[in-house]
Amino acid sequence: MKRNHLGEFEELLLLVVASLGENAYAVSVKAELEEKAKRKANISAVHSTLYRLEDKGLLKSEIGGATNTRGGKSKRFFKVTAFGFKTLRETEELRNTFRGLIPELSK
Amino acid sequence: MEEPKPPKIASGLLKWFISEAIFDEVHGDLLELYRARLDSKGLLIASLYFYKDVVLSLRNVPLRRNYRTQNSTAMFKNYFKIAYRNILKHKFYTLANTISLSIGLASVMLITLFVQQELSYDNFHENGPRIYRLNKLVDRDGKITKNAESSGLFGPSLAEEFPEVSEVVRVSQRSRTTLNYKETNFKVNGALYVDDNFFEVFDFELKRGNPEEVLKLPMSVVLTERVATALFKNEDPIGKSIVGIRGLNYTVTGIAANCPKNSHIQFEMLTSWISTVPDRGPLSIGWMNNWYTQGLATYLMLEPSASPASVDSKLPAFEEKNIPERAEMYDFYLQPFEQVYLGSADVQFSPAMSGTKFLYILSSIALAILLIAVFNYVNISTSKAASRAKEIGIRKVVGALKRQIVIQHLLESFILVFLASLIGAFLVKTALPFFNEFTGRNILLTDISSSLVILTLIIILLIAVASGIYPAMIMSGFKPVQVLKGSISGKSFGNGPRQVLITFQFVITIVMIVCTIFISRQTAFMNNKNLGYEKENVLMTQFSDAIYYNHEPFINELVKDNSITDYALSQQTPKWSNASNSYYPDGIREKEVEARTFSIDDRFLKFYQMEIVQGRGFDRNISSDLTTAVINETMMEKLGWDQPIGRQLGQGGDDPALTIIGVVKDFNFRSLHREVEPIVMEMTSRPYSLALKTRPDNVKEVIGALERTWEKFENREPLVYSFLEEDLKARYDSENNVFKAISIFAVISILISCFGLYGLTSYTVQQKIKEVGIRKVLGAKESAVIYLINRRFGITLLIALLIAIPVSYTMMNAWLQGFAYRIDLGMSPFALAILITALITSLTISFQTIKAARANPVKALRTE
Repeated sequence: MKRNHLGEFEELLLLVVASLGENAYAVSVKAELEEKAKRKANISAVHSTLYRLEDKGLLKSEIGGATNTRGGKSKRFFKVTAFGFKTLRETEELRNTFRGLIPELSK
Repeated sequence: MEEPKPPKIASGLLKWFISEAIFDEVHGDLLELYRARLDSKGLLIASLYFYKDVVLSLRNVPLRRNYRTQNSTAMFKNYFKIAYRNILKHKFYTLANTISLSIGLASVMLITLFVQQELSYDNFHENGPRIYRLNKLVDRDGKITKNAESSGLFGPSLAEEFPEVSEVVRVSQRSRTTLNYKETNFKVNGALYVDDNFFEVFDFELKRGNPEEVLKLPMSVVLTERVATALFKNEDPIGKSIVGIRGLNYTVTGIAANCPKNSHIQFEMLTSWISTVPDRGPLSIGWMNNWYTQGLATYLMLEPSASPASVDSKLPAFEEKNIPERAEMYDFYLQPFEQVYLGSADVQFSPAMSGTKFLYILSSIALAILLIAVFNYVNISTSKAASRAKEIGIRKVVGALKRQIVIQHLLESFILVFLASLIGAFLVKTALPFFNEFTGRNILLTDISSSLVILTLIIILLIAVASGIYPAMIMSGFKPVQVLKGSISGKSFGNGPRQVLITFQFVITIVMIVCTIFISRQTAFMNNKNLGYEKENVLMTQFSDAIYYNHEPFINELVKDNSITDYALSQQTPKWSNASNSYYPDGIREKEVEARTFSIDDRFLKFYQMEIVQGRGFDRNISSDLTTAVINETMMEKLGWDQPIGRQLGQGGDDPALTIIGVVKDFNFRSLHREVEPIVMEMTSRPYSLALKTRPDNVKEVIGALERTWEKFENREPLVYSFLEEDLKARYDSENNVFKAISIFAVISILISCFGLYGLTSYTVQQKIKEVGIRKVLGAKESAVIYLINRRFGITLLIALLIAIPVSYTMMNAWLQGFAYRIDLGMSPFALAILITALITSLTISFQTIKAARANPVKALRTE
């Protein structure tokens, strides 16, 4: 059986990366997470999740954009892959399927 | 402004652990966060967060560098795990070990700090190896003493006549004075007169002024930064005129850095020597500039190639030529400058007399404590060895080498010692203020040098090895077959050596207790001994120059106050007397006798309640009494006169002969280290010491009256007073310090030994639990069981006593020889020490043994 379901934090990060477009790297993802989702996450948690998602093929990445505030170190920008979007959609559909079956949640 | 950088250590850690491929980006992310926090939360918070981020990143497995894990790494992990479990399993033993080791280590660290400070004295002068102090041996009737003083003209002519001597610096101390500038007064504690080459020979730092010029002219002074700041606030002090010694005007020519605390020459103010030379400087101090008066220190700097021995060998001829009258008595020699601080305990009039004795005592105590702690570790771990036997057996069966078992156990001792040293360092930090108080030093933790840190680390490592190696050897020697068959579990290991170590611990403890008792008795004896005069309730003060010239009106004014009941005037006082003269019995020069001179008024003898055994004291109404003398019994003995009254004592120079009118009973005016010296007392009209009688209930009133009168006659110098009794106590400071140090450390060593003993007995009891059970079933009484367990400790204690008593007897005998007046070396302190040790030991042991003796034998035996 192919396992491609997402953890809650993984899904959230995937959404954040997708919403940030061209500017998605660890620090901006963390900032967005704090601002929009009001969630505190340590940078290392963000790192490990991003790398894991890349391993699963949901994200792809490229190097670029060294700035002075980073001591001249390069950034790794992430993008959601087609497979990533597909997984997001599947997750969403799965949820909606169940929501439709629950009278209290369906409008 | 430079941007603050995140902690380097953290970055280093990150680089070490994070896989190379992603280090750059991860590090970059962390840096970016650090910058952001720096702006919003400040440096400290940002750094702390940076650490947190790094540490959390290290935990993240996917980020980690891919190390090829080796089998040995896994094994090491296992060692740590087992060590950790063992620590938890034997909480009590671990606690006893760690506490005793940390106290031992803390003592050693403290003492090393102290020794470092003492050894660093005077080592900052570049010319140091070439500088010597001119000391002399003084021969008084075959009694030879060392002395650091010389006369004012001796040094300069040495420099002229001896090609080996390149520079001579004279240093003369005037203990304190008050400086005035405009409205500001400042009391200076170390005022020295020094030669103009002071800053060229010594490397005291001169912040302002030219080192060659500052002390050239009369009435030039150099102040330290501290004094200058206090006196001038924000003004520029150079060239300013201030009022100083004797109320004269001086010009500030230079500012020196504050005197380093590890220098035996201490100063706050330097006055040019030329100011004191009669006819050339307004101060005109005759005694500092003649051949005979010994009252200052002379330092010689030799040419680089010259040897001190060649100077030494020419000194007798030089003395013969220049001071023929004293050439017999004095024998000058050179003392290396760098030995002055630690090597002058037996040299009189040397400013800093620390001596190496206290250093040795402290170091040996620290070492003893450390040994006790290490022995505890060895004892406890070897006695526990059997409980680790199965583990070691298994390890060996699956292929562990002997070497690996040794390493494992060394690692365990290292973990424990490391823990203990952390606690020890904390203890040092806590104890340092108290330690400073009783050593009279001002040691800071920051004084520690990097080489000392390394040395301490090496010591810690050595201790870890020393305490771990023996248990490790024993345990690694187990035979796996025996162990696993179970035939070894009841046995115990290293019994013989363990007994030796316990005996040794007992010996150290008993010796310390004996020493503590003796030292406390001797100090109490010295503080309470009847000195032959009244020392209680006596307030002392020294006149300032203004009052000295005007002392009669001053006294007349003072006695008007009705709190003043009695007073006495003198030049010398019981606590301070350094004048000595030659006297010629019946005017015959060949029979010359050297004696201390006391110049006193007619109230002095009565005031101090000194007992007159023959004749009478002085009377101011008899004008001829100005040429009379009162001598003490020792002087009478020395003169060999049974009836001295009416006989004559000739004096040198133009001074008239003195007629003896009375003999006073001997009194101890110097420390009880020395015997009473011969004394000649004369009446003086020029006193500068005042003693006032007080009662416990009117001390405040007396001081008040003195202060009011003082202020009427003196508007510059502040009043300084002290109580005679306290001054006298202060001369036993070094004994008091040794006493405090040894009693504190004695308690600590007893405590540590008890920890070890307690641990050991509880283990012995555990081992014997079945034996005790069987004995009880067969009808043994509780007392028999207690005897069974205690017997071994009793024997050990007995052997320890046999060793400790002669050792401490010899030590205390040697120590007491240093006192002319001392307590007897009786047996009671030994008895007391034995009692204390026996009591503490049996208390420690009984706790466990009684429990064992009372236990229900069924509990012990039913598992069999």
